[in-house]
Amino acid sequence: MFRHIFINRLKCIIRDKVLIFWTLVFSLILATLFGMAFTNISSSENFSSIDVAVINNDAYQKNEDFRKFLKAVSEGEGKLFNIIAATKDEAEKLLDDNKIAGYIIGGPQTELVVKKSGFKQSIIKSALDGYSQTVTTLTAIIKNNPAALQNGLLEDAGGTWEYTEAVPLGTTDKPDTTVNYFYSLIAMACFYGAFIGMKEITDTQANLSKRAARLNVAPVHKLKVLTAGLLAGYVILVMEILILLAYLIFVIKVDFGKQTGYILMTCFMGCAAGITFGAFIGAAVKKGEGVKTAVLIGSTMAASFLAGMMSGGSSNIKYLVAKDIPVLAYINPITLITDALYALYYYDTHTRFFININLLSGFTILFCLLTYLIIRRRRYASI
Amino acid sequence: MQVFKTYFRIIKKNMGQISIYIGVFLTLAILFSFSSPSKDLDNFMQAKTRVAFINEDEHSPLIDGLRDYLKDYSVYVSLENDTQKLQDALFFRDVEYIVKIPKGFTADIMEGKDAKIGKITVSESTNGIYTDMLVNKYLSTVKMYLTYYNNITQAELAEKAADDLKVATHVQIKRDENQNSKTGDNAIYFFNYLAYAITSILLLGVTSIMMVFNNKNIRRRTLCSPIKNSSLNMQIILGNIIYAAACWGLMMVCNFLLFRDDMFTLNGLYFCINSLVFTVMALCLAFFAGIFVKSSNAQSSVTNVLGLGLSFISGVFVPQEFLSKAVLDIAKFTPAYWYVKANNEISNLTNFNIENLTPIFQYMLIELCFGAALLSVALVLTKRKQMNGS
Repeated sequence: MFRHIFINRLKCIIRDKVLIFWTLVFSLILATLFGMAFTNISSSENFSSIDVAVINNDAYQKNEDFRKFLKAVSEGEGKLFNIIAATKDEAEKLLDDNKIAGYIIGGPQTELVVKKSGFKQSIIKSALDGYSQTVTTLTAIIKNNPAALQNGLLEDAGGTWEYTEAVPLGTTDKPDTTVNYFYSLIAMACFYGAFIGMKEITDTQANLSKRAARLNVAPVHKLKVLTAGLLAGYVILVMEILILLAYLIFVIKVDFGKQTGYILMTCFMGCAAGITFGAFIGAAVKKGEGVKTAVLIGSTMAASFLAGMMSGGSSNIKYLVAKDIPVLAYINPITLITDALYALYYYDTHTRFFININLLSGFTILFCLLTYLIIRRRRYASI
Repeated sequence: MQVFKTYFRIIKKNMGQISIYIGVFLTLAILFSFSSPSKDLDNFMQAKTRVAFINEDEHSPLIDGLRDYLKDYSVYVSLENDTQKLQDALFFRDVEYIVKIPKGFTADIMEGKDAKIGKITVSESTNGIYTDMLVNKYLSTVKMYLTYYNNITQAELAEKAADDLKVATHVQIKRDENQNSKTGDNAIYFFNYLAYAITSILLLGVTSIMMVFNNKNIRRRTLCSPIKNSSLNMQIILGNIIYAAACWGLMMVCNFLLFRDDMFTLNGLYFCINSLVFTVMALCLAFFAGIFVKSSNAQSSVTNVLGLGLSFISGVFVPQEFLSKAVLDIAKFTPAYWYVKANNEISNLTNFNIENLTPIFQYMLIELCFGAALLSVALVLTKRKQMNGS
């Protein structure tokens, strides 16, 4: 009997086109849109050599040190600048056409001409500042200790030295901030699965649909019917989430880190939480289907918003919530799923991941219990 | 005018859904209007990186000197020295560079040992390279003094380094001669985002109407009523136009309330014209979509997919300069792309001569062409449907 109900519930869900659209197709479409919109954002913060012009005048030709300095910063790997020597008119034209970030006028006082303030312009300025500052330092040292010139002062001044070293933090030295959008998308898809859980309740609670009323006069234990239905829903949802995950990994090429087992575990847990949440809402909200749908969409959207699905960078809501109101992050299941995936991607420890997973299981059990308490022992003399 | 009245009765019934879109849109618009950074266009502003300064060593003049020096180039963010907190902050780019001074650093440097400062940054990011350059500059100056200057104390060292590092290059900002003070930086977010709001609101409203009037039974009943078909159509069209105009008008009122200073300029005027053109296009799009929408389920999926889809690929949510070329090539086949492109051009406008304005009018014309194309296809389809008698 269990198998019979299970298989028929599977068919019922698969044939519900609207349900499949919102739980699978919609998240695939959103994934595609996210993918199209965000792939370039992460590379936009990468440094690329800055195009600069230098006015090829007498002062520039005569100042050999300055030429050497410019040559040093525009050569080799990780060079700062691409330098073009130009006449003043050419440089003006290049600047007007946005071909260069600025141009340098050599002379007793180096001058920089730019069109606007920005990081590129500041880097040029700082490099030029650096040159003048070195000259000042050298003058002061030679005044104090003329012998320094023989002891390799100039070589020291001309060389480039690294006084900093990268400290490794996390699994990658280049965390891609856009992955959070995709992680919260998976979390949202898990919770859109709540529609399936709600459908199962609607189809088994006699006061909610005619089909359920018929089902209730059948000589089957109600718990068996409900378990079979929810299990069928769970199987479908897991399939859908796996399709979404595969699509994200293989087509959109989102970086999930390497811990496949744990990633799948997060998805399974997320699906369970989503289905039981839907069942809970279906049982707890006594109003019509429209209200139930509204409650589901409303809470899922608000929770996704708090999980950072709609904001980026340092204004990311997930980060702000975790920093300022951490409790809110722990009671939001969508943040828990997002954060579990994030922890797998970025942390080299598993503490935070397991905190998330445990809380998520806690929610799932809670939803199950509450649903059971609401719908148990319902009998209807008439409907 | 029964049809016309019915039109607005249907709109009224759907007001709940429509007002959600309007509400969300206005909330975001208000947020945008507050988060406007004021820009000084005449003076050069040194760019600042978000830096966390973590000192595991004791306080010393040398370290304080570094902190003071970096202050002009950084916005300091205070963070706990906790691995996960630092990771979170770096991931969400709350900090872009973390300076970590190891224990015993000052002593090592003063003894001439090879000591290094720890840095945590997003590798190869522009901001990271910028701050790295500054830290290295400070330390190499210190090192030079330490190696070659006779009998120097730490306090003197920090003072000399600080003085030397004050030397700055003169920066000249080049401006066009007939450039007037440029505004409209905030309004552009509002207008770009408006594409999403208008598309969604019009799709929702117009498809709701069409769903009712295209219902087979209702259509048959209206067709046999003593009202001319042309009059029926005219009333629906009039309703559509008034509805679209009302939506656009509402947006413009909010816009003028929020961005008063930006709007009373020529840029503001062009923004308004462009958004009106887009509204006309969106109306045609909604009319076109209305032919296919038969149920409220289909309606919500079409509204969401079209609204979000157009906005994501054409630069409404994510600026066009961040989108890849392949995406932009696809986006060129959508009117929203040209709308956003026109907005970008308008916000950069400083010279209102024919040469600069021509591309903007061209973009608007493209938007209108999209509208005309959609409308004519829609009319052909409706006609054919009528001929088939369905």
